[in-house]
Order: sequence, then structure tokens, then C-alpha cells
Amino acid sequence: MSDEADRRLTVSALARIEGEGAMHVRVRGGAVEDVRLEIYEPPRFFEALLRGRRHTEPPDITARICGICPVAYQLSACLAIEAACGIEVSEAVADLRRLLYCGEWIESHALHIYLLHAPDFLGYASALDLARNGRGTQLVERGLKLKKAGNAIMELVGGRAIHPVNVRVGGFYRAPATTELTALAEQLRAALDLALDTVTWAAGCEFPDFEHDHEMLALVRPGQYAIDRGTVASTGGLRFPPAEFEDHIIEEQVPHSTALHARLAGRGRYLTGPTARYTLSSRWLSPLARQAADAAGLGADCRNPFRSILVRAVEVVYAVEEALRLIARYEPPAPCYREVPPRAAVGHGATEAPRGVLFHRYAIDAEGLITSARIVPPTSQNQASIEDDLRRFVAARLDLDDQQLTRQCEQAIRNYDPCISCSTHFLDLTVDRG
Amino acid sequence: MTGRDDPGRPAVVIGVGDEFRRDDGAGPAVIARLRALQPGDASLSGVTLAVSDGEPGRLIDLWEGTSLAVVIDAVRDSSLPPGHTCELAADALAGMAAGAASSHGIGLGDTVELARALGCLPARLTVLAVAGRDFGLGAGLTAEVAAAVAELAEQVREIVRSPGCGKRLGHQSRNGPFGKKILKHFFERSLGSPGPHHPLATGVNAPPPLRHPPRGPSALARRLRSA
Repeated sequence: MSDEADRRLTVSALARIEGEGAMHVRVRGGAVEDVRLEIYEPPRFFEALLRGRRHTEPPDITARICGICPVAYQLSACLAIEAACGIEVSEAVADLRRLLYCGEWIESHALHIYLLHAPDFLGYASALDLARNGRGTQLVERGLKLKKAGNAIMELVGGRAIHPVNVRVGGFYRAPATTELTALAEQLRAALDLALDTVTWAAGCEFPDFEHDHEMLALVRPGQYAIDRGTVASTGGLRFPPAEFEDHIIEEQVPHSTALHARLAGRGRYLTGPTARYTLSSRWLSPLARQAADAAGLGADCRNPFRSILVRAVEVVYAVEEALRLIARYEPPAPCYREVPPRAAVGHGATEAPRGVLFHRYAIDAEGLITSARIVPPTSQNQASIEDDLRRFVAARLDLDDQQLTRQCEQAIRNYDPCISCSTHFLDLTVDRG
Repeated sequence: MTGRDDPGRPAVVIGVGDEFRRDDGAGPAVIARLRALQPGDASLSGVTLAVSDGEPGRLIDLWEGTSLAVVIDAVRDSSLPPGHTCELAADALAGMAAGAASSHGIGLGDTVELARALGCLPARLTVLAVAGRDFGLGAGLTAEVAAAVAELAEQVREIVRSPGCGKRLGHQSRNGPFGKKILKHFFERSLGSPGPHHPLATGVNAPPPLRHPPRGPSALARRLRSA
């Protein structure tokens, strides 16, 4: 118990997240006065360095923003540039892109579930400590096997497991042979059992009683769980194409973060990511993934961020099944890409990265040179909601001592699998010397 | 050392690093040299030569089940002359896992310890480290590190020719012992300079006991599949 009216909780370097960030909570007079998710990783200025590059280059350049979700960057970039140039890829190419994206979801979610988040639920400081425990060993082994299955898709379709080299504007440099994908399917069939085991295990975790009231935003594509394309929708009834993203999403600087904060114009903070996807599209899950979700106790929506590990587990089931479905009907696209001649225009693209909606916008000139670029990653969109979660979470648990409260706050941040390296590449920096 | 000695998988030599971060490319450069030598060198016959970014899962995949793994990696320590090399055995790495705060900072020490916990270490693991000078952006090694590449390749050939060479213990080095300082840097491979707010201590407290042990295999899977 703690009866201190004035308290300060600080974690200078958050553990088990992608990148470098800190958390500060200040309690004064028995009330939460200030909560900050501080992102101090240096800005990376990707939007600036894209200027003047050819319109064919963003998939390779922006993939370097993140080693966990490079496919998301590549495919959002492709969609935006193809939209600018008035090109649509064939359905066969779109399917191959979706298969590649399934690999990224499996890899990223397996990493987060087992190596970053599971230690929270099982009471360990790290995945290494978990692996050293006799019963935790099999969990980490399962996570690595599942991650390996995602890697296998990335390596075959993308050319390598991180920063794939086979993606190009208009399609792929090379389409894998049917026989190659058949061999991959064997590995994925085994991974499906691992994915279902993951749901079983996650369903047995204890989840704090906590719900948020954020507006949730995700891509939707009726008839399909949106991954590689879709219309932007929110639980508040918004629905708009990616081309109108900037009309609805406002980004702002805050003093304590090198990543921009985003809000919905005229509405405020919002949330993107697995729980938003699930809430808006759970009806489009495959029957097996839907059954797994039901058996795990997930309802039609999910507003408890601590249960995001469960949603990720269900999404892994879906991604493995979807990959198997795409492989079963695969015929190598011929040709495997379309030429995309440039024209002076602006194009927008959005896909569902493992952590939520990833938006790209490019303006290109008639020669095909990029004149401006904008990238809005999921983590920067979620910062305000994460801070709001922390504020409310702490306010309801002030009776905990500092150690317990700090640990639970870290877990609350990890609910969102923040990718800080993705979030820190804003272009404009204003220094207030007033 | 715990590990699975599978005679079915021969030795693997892994160059860890990024050739676009100057001296961090030392490991891949040694692999390139060994690949050039391999066709005419019986000692390298059947040896798998690989380059890795150091991601734990893929590194473990490369060495799991092998009789011998040699890992070549660049290290950063301004107190050592660039190009200085040293050989370490896996047992010397025990307890040197950095417990990296960010997943971006998971180093070789953490990976070795994770593999040890999972029983996925090779039968023998030897690490060849080389001190780098420049880890900035760009391709190409500094002259000092480039000069060490041939020596490192020769060390690899000696190790794979003499299986006992991989069993060195402690911090022994062919070129004299490394201090603990370099080992600390070695296992924090993150290339960016840590920010002023980035202490290695994470503030994570001692964990409570295990509450939810993993359950039996495929209970939900069996149920759903039989449905």
C-alpha cells in the first residue's frame, strides 16, 4: 500500500518495446497530474530524404524505417505511388502481396506475444528469464517456431526475412514457383497448430479489469479481414478512403516526444492496431479464427487493451490460415509486375501494419521525382491513447506501491506493441525559445 | 556446455554485421574471403558459410544442431586498437547477456544465453571478435579492420581444421585477454549512441512467481479441428 499524495514514477528506458522510449507519471495531491510517454529516439527524417528520389525508390527506402514491419512500409508506398500514377495491379499480384503481408503479421505478432509481452503475464523480467524457467522454455520455443514460419514466407516471397528485396512498384521482381509455395505450406500447416496453441495459452492469462473509450480506427474491406488495402473506418462511424486521410487526421508536435501525436479532426484521440481491427472486422475472420476467438472468450469487440495479446494470437491464426488459402489457389502471376510510368500527381496508400494503419502520401512530378512525402505510422497515432490509458490506469491503482504500479504501467504500454523507430521520422522541427 | 551435437550438420561459420555500417561489416567481409577460398580449401569443404544480421531467431537457426559454430563479429571499444582480434568460447559468454532494454539492442550475449536456455547451442561455439573504429554509415572497412580480415579468415580455417580449438575457456584470447569493458560493448551491439536518458537499467522490478504455466499441447487445436 502507498498513501503518498505526491509520487513520481519514472522508467527511463522502457523494456521489451521496439526502439527507445521512457515513461513519466506524476501524482500530486493524490491525483494523477501528468503522464508522458516520452519518445527520445532521434528523428530520422525519412520524409525529407525521399524528396528528389525516383518514384520507384520508396519501397526500398521506407522499408528501412523498421526491421519488424518493412512489408507494411513497402506496400503502403506501392499503393500510394500506383494510385498517383493511375495503375492498379492484378488480383494475382495483390494476392501475392497479401501472402507476404501474412508472413510479416505472423513474424511480428509471434515476436511480441512470446518475447516481449508474455513475460509480463507470467511475471518475468525478460524472455530470457522466461526461457530459463522449465515451463517457460516451451513457450519461447513455440514463439520462435511460429516466428520462423513467418520468416519463411518473407524469405520466399520477399527475398529475405527483413527489408525484403523482391517488392517493386507495380508488383514483384520475381514470382515464386508453385512448387516452392507447396513446400512452404507444409511448414505453415504445422504453424497453424502452434497458432491455435498460442490462443489457448493467451486465453489462460489474467487480464486487469480495464476498458478504454477511445474511438478505434482501422481499414475495413467487407468480406475480408483487411490487411493489404481497404477503406478507413472508425467505431465512431467515420468512413473515408485513404486519399482523405489527411482531411481527418491531424498530427501535432508535443514537447516530450520526437514522434508526432495524431488526433481525429474535431474528435480527438483515437486508437489503431489489432484491437481496432478486430472490433471493426471480426465478422470477416475465417471460421477457424472466429472459433478460436470465441473459445478464448473474445466477444464481438475488444476494448480492454490488456487483451490485445489475445487478439494478436487470433490474428496469427487468421494470417496462417489466410496464407495457406492463398497458397492453395496460387498461380504465378504473369507478368509479375506492371510498368508504372510516372505522371505529375499525388497518391495515397494505407495498409494494416501489425501495429495498425500505416499511411503514405507522395507527390511526384512528371519526371517521376518525389517532391514531397508524408508517412503516418501507427505508434505515433496511438501515443495520445496510450497516455490516456496510463492516466486512467494509474488513477484507479494509486493504492499500489511504486514498484507494482510501475511494472503494471510498463505492461500497459506494451499492450500497444509500440514501435518507436517507426514513429520518429517527422520532418518539421520547431524549437520554442520563448 | 549444453547443446545438441548432431553429426548430421557440419560446422557453420557466421559473419554477424551490417556491411553498410563500415567496420560492422567485418564479419561479412571474413565470410566473403572464406567463400573465395572455399573451392580450393579442403578444410572448408562442407562448412556452411553464412552472413547474419544477428537477429536471435535466425542466428539460433543457423547454429542449432551443428557440431561447431564460429561467429565473427565486430566490437566497439575505443581503448583497443582498431583491428585487434580475440577468440572467445561460448562458456566465456555466460552471464554477459546485457538484458537489453529495447528489442533493438538484443546482442550476441543475449542470443547465446537464450540458445543455452532452449538447448539450442551448437556442440561447440567460438566467437572471433575484432575491434572496429568506425561504425558510421557507409560501405567499406577502415584500413586497420580490413587488414585483420585475412588473419580472421586464417583463424577460422585453423579452428575448423582442429576441432579442439573451439574449446577454449574463459576470456582467453590469442592476442591477450580482453578487458570486461570490451565484452560489455560486445554484447550491446546497438549502433547508435545511447541518449542521455538511456541508462541500461530498465527499472523493471523482481518478478512475482509464475502464475500461468503453459498448458498442454493443442487443447484448443484438437477441439477446433475435431469440430
